[in-house]
Amino acid sequence: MIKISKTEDTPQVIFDKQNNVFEIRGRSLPEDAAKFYAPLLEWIKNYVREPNPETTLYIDLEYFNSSSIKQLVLLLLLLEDILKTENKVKAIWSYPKNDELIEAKGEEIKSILAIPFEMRPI
Amino acid sequence: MNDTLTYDFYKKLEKDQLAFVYSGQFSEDIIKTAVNFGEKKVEGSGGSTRIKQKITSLIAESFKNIILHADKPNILHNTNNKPSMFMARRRGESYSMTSANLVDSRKTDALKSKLDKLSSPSPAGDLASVLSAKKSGLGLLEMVKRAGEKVRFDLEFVNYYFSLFYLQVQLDAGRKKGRTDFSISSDQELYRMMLKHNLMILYKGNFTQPMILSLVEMVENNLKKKPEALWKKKKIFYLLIELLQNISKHAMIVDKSREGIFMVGVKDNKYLIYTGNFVEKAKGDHLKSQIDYFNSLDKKGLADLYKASLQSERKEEKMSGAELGLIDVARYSNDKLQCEFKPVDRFSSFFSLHISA
Repeated sequence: MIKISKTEDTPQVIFDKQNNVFEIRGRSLPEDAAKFYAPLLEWIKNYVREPNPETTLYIDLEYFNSSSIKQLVLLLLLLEDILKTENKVKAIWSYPKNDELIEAKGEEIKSILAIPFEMRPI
Repeated sequence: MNDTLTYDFYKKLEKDQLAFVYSGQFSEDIIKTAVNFGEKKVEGSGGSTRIKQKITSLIAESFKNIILHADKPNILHNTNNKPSMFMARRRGESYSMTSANLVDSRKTDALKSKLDKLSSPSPAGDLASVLSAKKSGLGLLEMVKRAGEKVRFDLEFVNYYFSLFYLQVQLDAGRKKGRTDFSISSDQELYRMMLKHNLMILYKGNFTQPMILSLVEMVENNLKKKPEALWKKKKIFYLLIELLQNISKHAMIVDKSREGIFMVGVKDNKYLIYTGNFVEKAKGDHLKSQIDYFNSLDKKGLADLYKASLQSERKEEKMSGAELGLIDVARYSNDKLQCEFKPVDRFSSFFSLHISA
């Protein structure tokens, strides 16, 4: 399980297989995004070998830098392995209704992924 | 755009290990951000706790001084915009902090005599009597008391109604006191340069993540009060982070520091962001051809390029993070990316980038 508290420039991350909770919330602005996301990618790589019947990754970011987007895409691509199985997987991109920037980023990410990706304005 | 603007500012501040100028909104919430910034600034120079406390309290008092005592002209006073400004500079272990603000010309005589008493070598008695004054300027005097070092001031005539009051406090943290001298006229020149180019924030020095977060917070604070749409504010924030992190990650190291300069100006409701840093020649050439390429594309072309780059993750790490960020900077700016490469020596150039958001 991964449970990371949020900081000024990194998000809160909860990857809890037992309780079936997967979420990334807050701000993602680390100088070295690859370093921050490496353990998360590693964990997901392991997880998709034996995933839960239904996996939903909930993403709710207020701010992010471009290198974080890159890492998020890598992470979401890893989830595609679940599509090869009978199990279900999807991602939810949550954002404030009038935040066109986050909305646009979500649409961009959605367009290159194979997994179901739900845009959720609040 | 004046192509050499960023470089000109850099050259002016070349001798300062660190320079910070703020001419945005002066309000209670900015004090906390400024003090936070000051703490990080001192950390970078390996300063002692005592020095850190002195400096952060000086910063706080300077800001409070401006908030409480800057006089605001109204339209009848016919005063061209002379904003309040705060400057902090460091050379070696010497620090200088200057505040500039308008004062009602009816107050200048009293102010002058109060300050003359302080700057002249006077026995403790005089200082005590001055300090006991309860009226305006008490925060100022607290500041001076704590500094215990050089204090300089100048009153620049603006018009019949107002003068521009500069107050500079110099603090020597090092053993050898009085080695560096920051002239007040240099600060005054800086004030004029900032004003001429509508600049709100300037930072020159080492670019680290904590410093970047502080700077962005300051801009955010100023944006908060403005009525712009959330989308525009987010965009500015996003662009700032990309540009600043590009410096902290890719700028050439000069004297153990990720050396660079960053400026934000506001004109006609547009945010003008300037960055400058050194790059190795080869890296600079590559960067120039990339920027030229991005500038040759329209917004749709850039969007497609961005998506293609994101997708290239499928195969390998083709595009570096910096390049991905730069595509987005090109996309979200109002106009084309404006850049300039100024050869500094055989191996490096000074790279300036300017965008409007």
